[in-house]
Amino acid sequence: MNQSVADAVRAEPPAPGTSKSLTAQRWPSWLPHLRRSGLVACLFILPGFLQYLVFMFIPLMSTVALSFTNWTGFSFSDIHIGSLRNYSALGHDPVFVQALVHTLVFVVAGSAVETLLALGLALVLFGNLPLAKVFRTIFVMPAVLSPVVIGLIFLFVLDPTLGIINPLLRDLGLKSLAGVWLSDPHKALPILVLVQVWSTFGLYMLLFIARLGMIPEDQWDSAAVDGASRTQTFRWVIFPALRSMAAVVVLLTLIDCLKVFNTVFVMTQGGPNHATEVLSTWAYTNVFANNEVGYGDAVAVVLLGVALLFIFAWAFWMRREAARNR
Amino acid sequence: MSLTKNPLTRGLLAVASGAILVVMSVGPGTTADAGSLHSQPQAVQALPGSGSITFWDEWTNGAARTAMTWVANAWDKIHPNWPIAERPIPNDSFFAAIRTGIADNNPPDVLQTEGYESTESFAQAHELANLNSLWSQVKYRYNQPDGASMTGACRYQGTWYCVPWDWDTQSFLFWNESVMKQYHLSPPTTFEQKLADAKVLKAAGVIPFALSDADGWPGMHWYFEFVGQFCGSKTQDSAVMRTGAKWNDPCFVKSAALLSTLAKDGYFPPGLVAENYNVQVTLLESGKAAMAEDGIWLEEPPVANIGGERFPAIAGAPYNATSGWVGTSLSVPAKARHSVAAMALLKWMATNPAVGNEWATAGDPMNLKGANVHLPGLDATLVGDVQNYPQLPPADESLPFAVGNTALYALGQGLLDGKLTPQQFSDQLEAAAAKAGPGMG
Repeated sequence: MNQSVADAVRAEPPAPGTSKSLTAQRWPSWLPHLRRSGLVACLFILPGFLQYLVFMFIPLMSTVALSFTNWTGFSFSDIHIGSLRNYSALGHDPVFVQALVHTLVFVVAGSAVETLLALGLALVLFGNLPLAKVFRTIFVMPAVLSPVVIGLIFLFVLDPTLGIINPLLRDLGLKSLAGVWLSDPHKALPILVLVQVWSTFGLYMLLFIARLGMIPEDQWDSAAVDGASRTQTFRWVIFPALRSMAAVVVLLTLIDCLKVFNTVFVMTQGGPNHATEVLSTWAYTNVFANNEVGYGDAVAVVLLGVALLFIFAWAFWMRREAARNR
Repeated sequence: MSLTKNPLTRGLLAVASGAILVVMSVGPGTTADAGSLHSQPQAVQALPGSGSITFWDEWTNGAARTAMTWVANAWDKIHPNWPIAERPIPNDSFFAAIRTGIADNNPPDVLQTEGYESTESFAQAHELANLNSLWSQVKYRYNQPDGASMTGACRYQGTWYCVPWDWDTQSFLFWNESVMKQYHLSPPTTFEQKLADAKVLKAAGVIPFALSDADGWPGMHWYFEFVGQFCGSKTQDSAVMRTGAKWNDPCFVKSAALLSTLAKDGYFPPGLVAENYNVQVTLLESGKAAMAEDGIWLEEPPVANIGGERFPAIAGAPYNATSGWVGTSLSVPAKARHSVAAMALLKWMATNPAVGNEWATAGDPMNLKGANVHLPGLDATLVGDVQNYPQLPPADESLPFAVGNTALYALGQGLLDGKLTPQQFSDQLEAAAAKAGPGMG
């Protein structure tokens, strides 16, 4: 609706007996003026804005400000802003570099595997396969579990001495595959990525299935009438329909992987010997274990920067896609 | 319409009543005690005013929980106008909770910490009250008031900031009696005998030594057993304080090498660097592992079927130091609202023999005179005997947090899983310690 039409509708007197006239009778005469001035909208926005301000914006800005201090976290009177020492120290901290690399691995591998797995299973379970609904439920169940619970479950399952994976492998005659799992620096990070994927992909699978259900019936019919193969149907019917949903899923998985903390902390605490350290756990360790709040906050600010880079890249890609489609 | 029949009114009344009760229960008392820290009463009976003494600790379970409950009840009976409002906080969130309380200017009246680096950090930030006067009144009650483990825990730059409370001794070797009996092994008295037994057990498919090192400290406690025998307490203290000894000196490398050898030879469980301490205890108690190096807390409360002895001496090792330290200590925050009442409580706890006895009876060792702990799994004289050896304050507690809490544990995991050689472990530990500066000694 363009502006002139909107003005015309607003200026038009309500017909007798319509809901608009009822509304006009019930509400005070000054309310429409308020609505036009945007004050009502502001009032509705205010609670959310205050929440954002108090619980997101102010802590975020505090974190950025504290990253320029050497605060130990004990007394507010000891905060002295104005040093770049923490940022220059980052480059000399091999654990930070390790954590940055691990975070990037987590984001790229986790996001890719999660999206592809969700898409693949959505395509499989969208059809009328027997027990499809049962499998959908099974795959979604981990998404409702707390990450801490998931971490504890896998910690027990993967325990080389008391866990159940190694005995199971031995009983299946696959003794050579039994190992020390999380203690192996080469296996620990991939395992954590897989746990992250396992715990969240079901939800994204549901999103894909919902989008597949919205593809008009006549498109499926047209493809069938034209004798399209499965690949061609995917290329020309399914893929265009899922494109926008895939973009949303990629964004959500990026966010999931960037903010990963609980499962890593519960399962490995960033170990062994920092082999699974990610930026969030290294920031936590510095702030809460080492009393180096300023340095830990600098690590957190870098994590924020990495997140913004990914989000901007995603937004840029989306805008280019939108322009291409126009 | 009756007020009480209106659901809204009833709800509001209920909320208001609840709020009043909460305010009454947690609200401040009178400020009659807000005097100088040096004007505490000599007799605990003469506590003026009223209010609650807020008391934050990490005694959420075990012997200390039992004892603290007794203390709170006993104190409340004597001082009904100054009851203890205790807040037990789980160990893993304890430090974050107390630091938040202190930074927010909302500290408790009595603060339990683990001493050492915690004391130094809080004292450096001017967040703890000077307890020199209180210490001079209670120190006569302690077995080793001037020992390195005591001063290291509570004294910073000549000032006492806490009262040492319970006592931890590492340096024990525990064993599962059923497993030892099954393989006809007697409790080891020398390190060499221990290794011979370990070979027998390993050949039989039993894990010789339970060790789970995801938390980092269990592995490093093994390391410090060897440091205690190869380097001695003075050398370790010197390395902590950066006064000459270095962490890559030969005796430290030798200690790391012995630990590395034990790991490489398969005397520890597989995958130990990803398992937490509870797994270590489970392995020992279930009989999947035969022995474990651990602290006295393993027997608090005593565990059936588990025996213990002082960690065996290594043939030819020049020292016999054991790790013993103040497990928990009690401070009064500088901004405590009821500091005088808090100090009266601490004085009562330290000087009243019934308190120490109650603590020891519950199974938590004390360094207070006459407070003899009874742990059936360990010879009664053994606990006292271990305490008579030169005591090593725990280096992981004494080193700056970035080293003792983080670098040391991570490097220890690297040593145990074979990714670091003993020399690399020692060099990297020395580099981290040099960067962080001197610890608390």
